[in-house]
Amino acid sequence: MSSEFNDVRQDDQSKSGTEENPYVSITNATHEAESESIQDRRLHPISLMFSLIGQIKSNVIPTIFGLLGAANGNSFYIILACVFLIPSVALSIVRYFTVRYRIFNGDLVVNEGLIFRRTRTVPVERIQNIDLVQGVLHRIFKVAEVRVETASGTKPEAVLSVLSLGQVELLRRSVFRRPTDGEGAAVGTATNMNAGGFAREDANEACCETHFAPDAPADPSPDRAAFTQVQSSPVSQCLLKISTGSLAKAGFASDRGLIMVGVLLGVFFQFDSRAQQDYDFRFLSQWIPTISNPFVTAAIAIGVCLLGFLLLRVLGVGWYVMRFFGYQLRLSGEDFKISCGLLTKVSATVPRKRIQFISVHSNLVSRWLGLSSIRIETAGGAGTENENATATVSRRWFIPVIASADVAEMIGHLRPGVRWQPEGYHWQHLSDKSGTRMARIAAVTSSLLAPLGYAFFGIWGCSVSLIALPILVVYAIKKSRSVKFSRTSFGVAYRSGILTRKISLTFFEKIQSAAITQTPWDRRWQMATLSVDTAAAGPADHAIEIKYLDAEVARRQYDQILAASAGEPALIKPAI
Amino acid sequence: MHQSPDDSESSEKLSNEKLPNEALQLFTVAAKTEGNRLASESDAGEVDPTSVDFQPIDPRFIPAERLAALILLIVAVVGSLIACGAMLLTGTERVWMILAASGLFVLCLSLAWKTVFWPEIEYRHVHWRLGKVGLEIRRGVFWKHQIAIPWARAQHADVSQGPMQRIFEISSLTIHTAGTKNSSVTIDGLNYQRAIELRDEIIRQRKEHDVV
Repeated sequence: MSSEFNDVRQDDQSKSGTEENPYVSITNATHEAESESIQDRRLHPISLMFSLIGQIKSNVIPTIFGLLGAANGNSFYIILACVFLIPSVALSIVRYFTVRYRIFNGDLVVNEGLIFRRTRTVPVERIQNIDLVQGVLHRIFKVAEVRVETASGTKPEAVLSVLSLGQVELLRRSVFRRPTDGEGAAVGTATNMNAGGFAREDANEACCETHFAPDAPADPSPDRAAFTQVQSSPVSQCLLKISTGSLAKAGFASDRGLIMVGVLLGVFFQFDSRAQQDYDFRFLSQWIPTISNPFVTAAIAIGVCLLGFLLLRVLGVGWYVMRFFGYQLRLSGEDFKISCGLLTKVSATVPRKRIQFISVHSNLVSRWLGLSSIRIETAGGAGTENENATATVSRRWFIPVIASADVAEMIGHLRPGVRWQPEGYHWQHLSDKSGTRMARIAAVTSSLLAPLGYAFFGIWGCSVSLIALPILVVYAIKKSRSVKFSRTSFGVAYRSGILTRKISLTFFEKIQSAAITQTPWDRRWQMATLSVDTAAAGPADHAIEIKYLDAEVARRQYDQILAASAGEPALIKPAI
Repeated sequence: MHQSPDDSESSEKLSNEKLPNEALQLFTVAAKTEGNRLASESDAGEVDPTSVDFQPIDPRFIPAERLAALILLIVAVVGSLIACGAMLLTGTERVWMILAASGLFVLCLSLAWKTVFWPEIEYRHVHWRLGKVGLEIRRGVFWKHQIAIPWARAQHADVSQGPMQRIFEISSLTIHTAGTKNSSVTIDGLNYQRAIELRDEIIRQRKEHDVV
């Protein structure tokens, strides 16, 4: 197996060797592009600086104490700071000298540690993606933090901080230039295989999406140009560039500003010393200048509200532009490469066959503007809790904004053979009685609000439940109608949402298990919950768990989904 | 699958021409079995995924569960007796004492019920089958779950046996998938030998595929 493996890879390398990559040859003249295995390598020497900065960041308090002590001439604090700082600095130096990585025999081996040695061996075939993060400092020194991800768990399998871009390219090349047929049996579907026929010859230069192309900015700095050059490989094809204008539109449509305000408030209350002394909100009225004219007051109030709304939107725009500035999605061979970011630059590689789940989201405002966003789930780095830079870009916001009209074409790229026509799918609705059932739940909920209201506001508080009742009932009925699902030729499609509409696709060979659950209430209503589990579900925030299906429908769909995902095409009956 | 009839024909032709006898025999046998398989599939039309019936787990699950529950019951009874004794000695107010004692009594009674009746009820509601698609498990008395893991999706399988289970020669089989919510699925109360066989079968089937 391994000899065959190496042969093919060498072949591949010699092919690509003809087209020489100037960047690699300049920075790393010693690297031989022909070698399929990487010899023992250390991190980039600048790593020392970065790990020092990291240590100082994580030891902010001792550092501040030390500085204070130095200012006051109090040697005790300096000693205290040294006690904290010196070991960590020493650790980071030791770490730099002991971290080594190599690719040997088809495994990525990372060694670290002086006293407790740790050797981590990751089979190259199991590597899901190699992501880069570059802050401003990283970019000045032309280095990057590298995260190697496998299908396991929530953390990257190995973080190499930091490597020079040349080393990164070499690493990427040796990891992803593997024979694709080696794993063909794995994912083994016809749809996956026809990629060759699918690849379009045009469009290496002109970026395809006409909607976004006209005002696309030219690469602003030589630094960036060099970066993209490293990215590009002979067969790469640019799928999408997003102009700053489109990003601004998307930011305006998104509710991101609200989240930003939360974050800002948190930061404010943490660092502002006055905030520690508790603002006295009882005298809030004193802060507001007294104006006798009620119209002026009303006008000011409306003005403030508008200003606040605008500020929220501007914050959203800011976030989008910061994160996705210069967004570029390229398809190189069978891997998608994303790069974007204004200050912190992220570059992620997502192998096409690792895409488990595709989800298209659009909220109310972006529907008016005709925009959507596409999220994907790959098997690497699951977990919604830690939204780090690479995960944000490569999974949660795979494509932060795209014209809704272009979604079909883009999904065709993401997974050849998949037909994106949400209107054409054979949607299966929830049980006819689901609306009634959900409305009843809403009624019970709103009646529970009455005692709460009474407790807070006295007898008038009960009216809360009267107000809530129609709203909740209408919402429940609308919700019951909005949820639909469909078994298509390639997998399962699931759609939900009233304001923010989400449509997700997953594929039979990516389905890990299927389950039916029936609660005692479900049995009374003859309903059931059908759920479909995929690897690393979560980032797209649209897990397939369909409640309130007719029990019989759920059972039938369950059987058929299972049959199809077990690769028994004979078992698939047409959807009813 | 569509190509296989052609394959068997061509192999027969080949064998008729020049292969030695033994090879010829092998080839024809292979072709026949392949043919039979195809025939049986086409006869059925669409193969029913429920072709293999669900089976119950090992009945020794009941005494094992009872024993475990009994230990808990004994602990609870002894604990509540001690508590009652302590209350008598310290001279707690009568109302509280009656309340506490009746609470403990209800607790012990429900534990006794759990010891005597529950294991059998639970046993009746756990079924599994190793079907064409993979492993399927059905369980739950009030909240009913049915979950299936296709053959190719099982990452690995463990058999584990606690001390109580060892007495009754039963065990738990856990199957791990690359999934998120149902990333591991466990069946309790399988015959130990059976569990080992199942595990080996799952691993054997799994080797033919890669998953993620």
